[in-house]
Amino acid sequence: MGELGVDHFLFLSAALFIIGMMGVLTRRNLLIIFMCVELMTNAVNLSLVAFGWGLNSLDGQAFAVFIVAVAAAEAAVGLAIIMALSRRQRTVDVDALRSLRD
Amino acid sequence: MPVETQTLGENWLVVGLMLVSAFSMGMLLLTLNKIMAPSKPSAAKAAPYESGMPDIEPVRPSYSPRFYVVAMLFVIFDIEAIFIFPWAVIFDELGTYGFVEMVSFIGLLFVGYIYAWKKGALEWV
Amino acid sequence: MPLDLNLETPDLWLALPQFIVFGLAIALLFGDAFVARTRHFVWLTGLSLVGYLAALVALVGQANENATTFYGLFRADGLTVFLSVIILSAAVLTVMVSASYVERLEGRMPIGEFYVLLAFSVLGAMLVAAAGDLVMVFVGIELSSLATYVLAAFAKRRLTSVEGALKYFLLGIFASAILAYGMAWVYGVTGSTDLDAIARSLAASVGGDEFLDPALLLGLLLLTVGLGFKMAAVPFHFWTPDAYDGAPTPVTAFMSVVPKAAAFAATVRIFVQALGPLRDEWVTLLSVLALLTMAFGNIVAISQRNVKRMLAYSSIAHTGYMLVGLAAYQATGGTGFGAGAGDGDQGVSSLLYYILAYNFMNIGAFAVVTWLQHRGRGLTLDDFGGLATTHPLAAAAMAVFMVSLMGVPPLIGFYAKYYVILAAIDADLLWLAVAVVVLSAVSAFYYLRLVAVMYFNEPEGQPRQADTRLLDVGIAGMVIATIALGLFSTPIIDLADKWESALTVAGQVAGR
Repeated sequence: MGELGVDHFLFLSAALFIIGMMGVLTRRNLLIIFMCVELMTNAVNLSLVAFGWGLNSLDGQAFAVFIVAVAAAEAAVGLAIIMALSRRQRTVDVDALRSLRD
Repeated sequence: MPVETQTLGENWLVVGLMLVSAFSMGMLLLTLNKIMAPSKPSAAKAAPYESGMPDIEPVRPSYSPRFYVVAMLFVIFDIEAIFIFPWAVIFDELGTYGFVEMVSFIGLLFVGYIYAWKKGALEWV
Repeated sequence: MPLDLNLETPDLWLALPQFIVFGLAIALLFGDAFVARTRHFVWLTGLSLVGYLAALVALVGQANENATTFYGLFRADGLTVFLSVIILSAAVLTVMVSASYVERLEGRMPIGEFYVLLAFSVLGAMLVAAAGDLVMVFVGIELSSLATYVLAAFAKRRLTSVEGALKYFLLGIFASAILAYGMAWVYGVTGSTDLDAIARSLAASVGGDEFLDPALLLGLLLLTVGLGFKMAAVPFHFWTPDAYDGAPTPVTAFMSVVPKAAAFAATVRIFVQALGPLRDEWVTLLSVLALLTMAFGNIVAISQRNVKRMLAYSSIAHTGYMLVGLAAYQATGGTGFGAGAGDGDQGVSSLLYYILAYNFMNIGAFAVVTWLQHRGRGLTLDDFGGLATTHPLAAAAMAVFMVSLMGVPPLIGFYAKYYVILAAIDADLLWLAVAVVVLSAVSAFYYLRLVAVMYFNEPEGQPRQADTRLLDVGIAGMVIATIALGLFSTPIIDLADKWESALTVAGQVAGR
């Protein structure tokens, strides 16, 4: 494994994905959770581009472009919902989300 | 240097191990950070930095929602440019069909723009 | 890198119904922006209904197609048509249920925006049903979900609506990231994002006594988790009760059907069409999920006093029954329910029939809840007390939907479960078939309790008068569908059997 190969990128993307996932599961601030999901999404993009490079096909890059666009739309919708919440309730802490209960 | 598909196929077996090690790597870094970083929170430290002055009003002043609306519109319209970029790179090879496709794509963006405009999202009051 | 540019103009006519819904969305955008606010209610409601009905008519043109266009991204086949019929009829019903609610309750919400978002969500779900490529599946699911997140937060003055939407949103994008990662691994292993090409590549490499590629298993697992979140299968269901409870009731009706139909469409497209050669692996995963989902949904629903939450858990339980249908998938080229052997596989046919049945009875149940909200009643079980005395027709409609959800003959819900059970027995999954029967019996407890409350308790308070003509028509239509489609289930299941024309291309090439 002397030179840079696909595996290195896959390893990096897997590590990023898991760091993002841990963040989603452990963090309490909505915006940070949101950023962690973005990290996971970008890890996916990295592995798609790496796969595309390894397989010598452009499909992976094309897929990654679509995911970037979707992530931007997610960001817009998500920030709008978070804004609507922080106007009702002056906090962005997950633990404050308790008005709905069984 | 593109890796041959053959070698790639052989490497798949490693992937399971890779994921385990990626997981432990991620966890290791997070845990090391937890252990090694000194953690002595105090009220003064938690306070936001205000050039040495004690803060006199709530830290997060409420910005006008206009800022957020404009930021959101910017993100959306900005990101759409990534579809134009690959198109521009091979513009010559795409011919008329590619041109028509891009015109209809930009036309749809324009519809969104008109909507935002008409709805008053671009007005700065 | 050499580019293989194949730029024939796609066959646009093949995607006519999808284009009609897209055109509808754009027309609604302009209508929202340029038509005077006072006319929105009549004009835009009418436009939506006409648009969806036109798309339903246009689906006839796709009926016997089996073709791809847009370079393999778009497929028109039996599965596309059947799922699109379900999604479009859910859209029509949602418009009927929501019009008066959005206009009058919860402080006059902007109805134009509501219809635009609804149209985009419907379009996304239809695109998933017609997807021929992983990219298309992903983009379709996201288009559908993003619009639904906003719809869930539509009553933005009410904290619970925003909170439920936020939970839905956060877990939804989390699931999307996992789903995309699974797709990335499948692409990495098979070298293609085209569903048929993936099936071909796997058919060539999988088989014999060799061990499965761990990367493939990882991809499969990630896809299962991602889709499990989207379809609200246990243990990925956390968002469901809160999101359903918080959202405005007509949106809940929509959310419980269309995104679920989209998730199942994606599952059939990916698992059956592309990962068919891995059947043995994912069937095990899905049958475990199915059992957990059924059991959890039904048991927790018993303890709910809030009718919307009860229906939320009931919808989780129904996800479980649908998963049983999918877990009973055997192989392409199997025997369907109909006379024509070599039609679709029983498992997938029963799943399709189940989604159709669930569409009418579940939107119906939420429609009656909406109807009562118009008349000033709340959402708890006690608010349904004495409904049979004050509003006998509404009580009768609700009773029909409850009994159908429970699965009593001759209503549509019974036939849905019947076909699922037949498929499970045929696939040697006797334990799952038994679980469906036992848990349906458990579900009788909470469905019949609601019926009992309506018929035997005393009414409280004075009902308010309200004029909800469109909603009344919608409820009547759903009652008729729930009864009639059960009585005439044979032609529908025959139609559902045709789904497999989707897979003949891949099957032939792969030599299966």
